[in-house]
Amino acid sequence: MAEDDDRTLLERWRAGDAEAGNALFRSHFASVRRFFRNKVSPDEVEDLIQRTFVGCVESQERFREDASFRTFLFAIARNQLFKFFRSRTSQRNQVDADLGVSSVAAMGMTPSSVVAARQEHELLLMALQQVSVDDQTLLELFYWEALSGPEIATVLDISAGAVRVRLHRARGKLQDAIEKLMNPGQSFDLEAAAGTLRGL
Amino acid sequence: MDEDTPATPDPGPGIETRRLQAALESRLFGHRAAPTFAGRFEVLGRLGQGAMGTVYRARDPELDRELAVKVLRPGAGTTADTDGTARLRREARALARLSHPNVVEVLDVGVQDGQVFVAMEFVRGRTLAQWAEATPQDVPDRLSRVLGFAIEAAQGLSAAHAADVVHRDVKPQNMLVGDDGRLRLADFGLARGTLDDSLSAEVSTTGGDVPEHVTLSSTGMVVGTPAYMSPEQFEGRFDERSDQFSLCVSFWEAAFGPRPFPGATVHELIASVVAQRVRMPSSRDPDTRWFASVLKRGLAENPSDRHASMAALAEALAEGPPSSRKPWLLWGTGAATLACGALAVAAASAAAPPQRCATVAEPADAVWTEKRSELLSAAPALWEPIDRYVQSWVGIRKTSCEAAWRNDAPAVDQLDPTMRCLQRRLDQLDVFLAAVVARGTVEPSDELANVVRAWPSPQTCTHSDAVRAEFTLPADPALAQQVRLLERDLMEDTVRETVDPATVSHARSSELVQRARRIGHEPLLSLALEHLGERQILARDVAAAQTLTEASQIAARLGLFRAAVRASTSAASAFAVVENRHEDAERSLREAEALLQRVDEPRTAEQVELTYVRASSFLAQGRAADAAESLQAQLRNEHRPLDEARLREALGSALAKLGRYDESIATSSRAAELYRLKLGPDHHVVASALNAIALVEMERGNPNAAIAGFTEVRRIVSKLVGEQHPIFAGVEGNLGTAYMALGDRDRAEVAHRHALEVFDATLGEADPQRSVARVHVAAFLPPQEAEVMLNQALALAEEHSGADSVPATSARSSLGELYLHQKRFERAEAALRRSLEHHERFQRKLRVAFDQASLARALALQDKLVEARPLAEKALTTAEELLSADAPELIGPLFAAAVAHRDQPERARAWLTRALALPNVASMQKTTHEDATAFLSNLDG
Repeated sequence: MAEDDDRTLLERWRAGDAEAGNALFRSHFASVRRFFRNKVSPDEVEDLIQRTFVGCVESQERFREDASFRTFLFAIARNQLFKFFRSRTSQRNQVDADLGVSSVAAMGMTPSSVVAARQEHELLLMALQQVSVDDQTLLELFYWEALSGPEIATVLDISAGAVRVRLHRARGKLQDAIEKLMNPGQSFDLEAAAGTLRGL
Repeated sequence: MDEDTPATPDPGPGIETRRLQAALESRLFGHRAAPTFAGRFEVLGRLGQGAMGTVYRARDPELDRELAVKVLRPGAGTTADTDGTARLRREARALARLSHPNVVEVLDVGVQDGQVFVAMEFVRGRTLAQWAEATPQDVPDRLSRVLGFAIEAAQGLSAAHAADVVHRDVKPQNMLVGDDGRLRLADFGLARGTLDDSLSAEVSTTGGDVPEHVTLSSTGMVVGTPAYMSPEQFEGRFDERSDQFSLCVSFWEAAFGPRPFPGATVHELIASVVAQRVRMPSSRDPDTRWFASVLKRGLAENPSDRHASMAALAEALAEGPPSSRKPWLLWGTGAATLACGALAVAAASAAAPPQRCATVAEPADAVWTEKRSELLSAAPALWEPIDRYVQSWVGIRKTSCEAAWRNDAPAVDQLDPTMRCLQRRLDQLDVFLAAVVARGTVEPSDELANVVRAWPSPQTCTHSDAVRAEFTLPADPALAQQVRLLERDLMEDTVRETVDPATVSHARSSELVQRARRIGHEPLLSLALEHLGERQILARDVAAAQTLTEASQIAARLGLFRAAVRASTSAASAFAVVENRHEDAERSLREAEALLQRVDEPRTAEQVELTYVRASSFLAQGRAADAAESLQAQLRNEHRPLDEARLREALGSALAKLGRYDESIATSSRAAELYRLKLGPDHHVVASALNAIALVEMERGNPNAAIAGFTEVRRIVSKLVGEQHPIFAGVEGNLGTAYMALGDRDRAEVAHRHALEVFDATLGEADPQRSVARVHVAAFLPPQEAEVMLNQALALAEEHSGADSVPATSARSSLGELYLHQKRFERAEAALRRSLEHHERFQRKLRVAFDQASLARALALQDKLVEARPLAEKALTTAEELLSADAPELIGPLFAAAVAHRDQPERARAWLTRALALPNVASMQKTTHEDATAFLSNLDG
């Protein structure tokens, strides 16, 4: 199973096998990159990706046996993101980094460019930056990474039931954010846009 | 490794993805990944990212040189957008043909994995934005560097425009300052979108901040950076003049700090641009202002109002700031040429008519050196009248200039004096500012502001007759030159005096008069005489009145009436203050009033001065009521605070002399308040005013208030001259007297002793204050020491002030009291008789009464009762008249009456009992109290 492979690769990497690490990296690089891309500026992405993968090797205890590697990886990613935001916001004396409350936009962390070929995509990405970081993570993991409810729960460190509720609420908030950014008379298909966006 | 399958066709991992992955693999796992290529160029590392795409450092393996590769982000020219790509390639080709030192060279354009990339010259250095941030404002020559960059940028853009390429996104982040110091424009035309008239830009904002980019509705493409965008760009229209706008905003920011148009959101920004609400730089440096004015033109809302082209802007910048150009002041004396230098210059350069007089402000600007601007920026109270003066000057200058160009130009012989007049007005400002700088401080700025306000307005230069009289030069050029030199010297002397009186010398003023007489130029002679006369008044020189009268006569003859008024008023002051010739003073004042009728408004300054001099004259004559009346009449008009203060101070003095103490204190307090407000709480004028009030409080019998006043005066004086200064000692003495009046002997003693100490340390023997201080201190000494001190006082006073002087009499009086106490009746009698004689002569009624009382006691105790009794009675009557019923000083006369009638014990006892029951009498009249008590017990015993 792919999952066993991942866990095995991780064990081997932790034991010092660089090739194993490289393989693991190649499998998940794109996902991790997607995670960070809409939340920080491109100059930071490289560093955060690196820290995430390094974090895999170094944090022994966090990996619960019943969780998937991807979940584990995203949890580390989210942790790195939080650390990054906290260090930046304290420097700038802005809104405290509380991922459950503050949005990327509110914390002034907006990436300086938006990757989008069509306006709908841009709208979506910008709208995602308006909701709380945790909601943004939740939606992105759900739509782009196709993580399951329990898996998302692990990443965000909440219960599976809470995930269901929050997903419903987050979708609503996102819809609101999109409407605020839209032109009147414009229509928007969240599912479609999210789907295509994943590929970029 | 591919991404997961998306819904749209996947072009495969882009350059950035591959580069990022390779970089990370190398960092994490140590092995060198396969190089990433864009065309034939090897991508080495990321340099930065903009809205358009990412810039990488790259290498051309073929030519083995470093370059930059910009990979446009998908959408900004993907192969899916064939139109866009074609356009981009066309533009890249145009830019590649353009080889200009200030434009980044384009080397190649291509497509890699569906992404368009542009290979460019690699410029080692930083962006203009980074340069500006890293270079603080106070670095010398910063402005000229920015100017240099601006010229380079304008030239580069000009060349691009000539090649039909418009930039569209000019901003400091898009201009590179190489390590070689040269500026290059980058990112040309890469911000493209389709721009039909039907499209409108839609602004996407995050958090309300001015965003980095603007997107167009249908294509989602970025077309500029709002902070630098011209107003027409927001509407989707664009041409070369939009580049000009963006350039001016960029360099405004680089030079001055903030951008020219304020606005936290795009809407506010656009509103500012439309309203042309430009945030001018605060510096008054003429170069800065010139730069700002050139850039400002490029910021006009309507493109047609901007510079005609980028080339025109470049030329305007290249012309350089005023400081680099030659001085234009050429005052022609020949009748054939127009006298105005700027006009001559303008005629030579065939500028368009409205611009001919555009340079008139420059001499005024040249007055503002950096040091002066810096000093004055700290004093808005002084800055404001100066600014008004300058504005007025520029206005008149411009009008005269324009009039000269029109057909109704005044004749040359009329124009020349006007120009000279204006020149002098400006020179006056120049000398004034130089003097202020030399002084080092602008405080007190209100006083200096008054000086500026007192100057004749530049407006007066257009009053043809008066101006011609004053400013026409002699025809002989050598003579004319001498006049000019004298004019300058005289003006320097006069202006410097107003700023720092200590710098002017009497000798120099005389010399200027001599020169004026030799040259025979009457207008200057009048001014020089006036100046000399002022100095003579200060020196108490009796020649002052004559000097000033002559000055006035000449001025009146020439029709220079304001000057004549001034001189006459000063003559009156000289008569009154220096010579006590009050009738002559009044005559001069009436002359001044008559002349004042012929002067245009405003006349208030002259009127205030007139009133003040008249009041001083009245006071000196003892006509306090007349003085008060004329001052009150003048105070009914509106005055500037310092003028009002002066008038009120004089009024307070007059009212005090009339015994109207409450009114006096009220008006003097208001004067002190105004002085404090305008000159600061630690100014000597404030101290004088407060001192005068405190003295009145003493007269009024209010020692507490007096003490409060003197204490404040003491604080100020201590601050101004320190505690080892006779003025300080004088205040201490006043305090001592006030404490005595209050009954606080201890404090009084401390104060008087201190005063004596300082007087002795700082004054020569001849100064009467040393004698007077001794008398005061003697009151606290035991009898033997007191006698020594009082004899010292008497000796000093007799030798230096005269046997009959006030200090001598005061010493004698006190000695008399002392001898009386010591029962040395003969000596007492001798001293007191002399003292009484002096006081009678000067009609010091109360002093007379006290002397009479003491003398009566001395006589009575020698059994000379016949003489003693009437004296005692007179003394008591007078004292009861002049003093209040419970004044402790009554003890003297009461005691004297008792002693003189000691053969009538009941009466004597009654007087004594009453005397001893007076409040505070034991402390305030110590020795007398002792003696009276002893006498009473003797009577009883």
